[in-house]
Amino acid sequence: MPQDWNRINEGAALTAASLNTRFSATVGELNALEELTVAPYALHREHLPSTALATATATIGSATNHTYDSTSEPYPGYGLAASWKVINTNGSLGTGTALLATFSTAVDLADTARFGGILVLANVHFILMEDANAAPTILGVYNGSCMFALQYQISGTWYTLARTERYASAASTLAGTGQLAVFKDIPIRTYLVYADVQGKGNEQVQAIRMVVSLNKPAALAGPIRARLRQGNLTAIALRAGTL
Amino acid sequence: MPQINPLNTFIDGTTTAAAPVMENFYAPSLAPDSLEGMNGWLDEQNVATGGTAWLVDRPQIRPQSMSRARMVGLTGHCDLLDDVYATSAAIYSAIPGASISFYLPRAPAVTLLTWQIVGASDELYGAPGDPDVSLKLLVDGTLATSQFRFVAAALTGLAANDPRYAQRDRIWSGHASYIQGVNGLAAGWHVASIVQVRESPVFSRFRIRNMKYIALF
Repeated sequence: MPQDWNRINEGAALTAASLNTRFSATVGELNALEELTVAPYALHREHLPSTALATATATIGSATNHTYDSTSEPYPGYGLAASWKVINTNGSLGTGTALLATFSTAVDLADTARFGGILVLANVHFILMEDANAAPTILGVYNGSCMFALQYQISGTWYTLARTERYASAASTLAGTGQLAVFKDIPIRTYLVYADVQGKGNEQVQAIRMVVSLNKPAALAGPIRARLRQGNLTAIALRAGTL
Repeated sequence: MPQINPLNTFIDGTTTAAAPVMENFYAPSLAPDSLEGMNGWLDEQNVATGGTAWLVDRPQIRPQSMSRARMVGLTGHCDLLDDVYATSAAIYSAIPGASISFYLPRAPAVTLLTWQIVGASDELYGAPGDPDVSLKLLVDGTLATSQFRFVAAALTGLAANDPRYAQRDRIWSGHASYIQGVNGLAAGWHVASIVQVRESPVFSRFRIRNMKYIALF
């Protein structure tokens, strides 16, 4: 603390002014601590806000599969937002419990002094991919893929985060055994920052969701279909590196 | 705690009582209105702004006071055999290396669990229906919702020495989150494990990469 506090001299009278000045000066110093006045490691969680400024989660605990197909959810192309379907317990209908996490208050990533970014973790259990045609073709590794991605919402509009796109193909099947299940875990991890969301009018992220679509090769009559099961999604807005 | 409020003031020509002077030095209250605020209550609200502004950074923060994390793992395969582990679906076998115990000195704002485990099964490939080997997350003795994965059947045949399809091994890079006010973890000890469930006497093999907890206070 700067040494600018004037002591009252021995024998000097205590006056209202001398008391008021010194009390207010002391309070002023305590309310405007300078860096040198804070000892190393002096601050801990009692003195500082949490590094997790906002959180949002979603889970699908369904014990049954939900189904999506290349007619309802055709893959739109890399980084595009149209025709993806949010992963939900009613599949193509889109009306079930969804892997969609909404922040109670939108996270303004433009406030870079406060928000470092949004850490997103998402998982879903990919059960099966199959040919839904009446005369199905046995699928192999080259016969289409099930696509996954993360989307974020700003001002009610969903945007695909291209770098989060993942794909999985059907099980490599044996002749005559039909279309076997895949049983894969699909994990997506990303850190959404200010640079990711610029150019959308504002940078206030309202929600995050995990979406699915199916990429059917033109040569395959199809449609192709995918079944998913349990999943969860977590979004954590983290404080910037300094306070 | 917010900034210290202005203290009692005194008026020239008026006799000063002892109480308001003493209150200026020490009067504990949630809304700080005495110099008692310096008795451990100063926080980020008291940091200078304006011309002498500075930012609280790592040198001022006590290590492990804002976050804690730890990871465990296992080197080598973990084979679970019928004569070692029960096959009942009601019995969950915690997988060594994919289990972590941790102490939280206070209730975190967020606790994250993440893990990576590879599972393989000697169940016959091509059999209809769901696989007989599956994995779940068990936290403090309770199975977590939404945390269930099948381990795909992979055996090429039932003859002795028939290999398994290696591409049918499955990795689970899972995560679980516990948010204070929703499903948050309390202060104290906790145990989280990936557990195996088997519904038939099959042999299973796991390669455990890691199991981690991250707590943000």
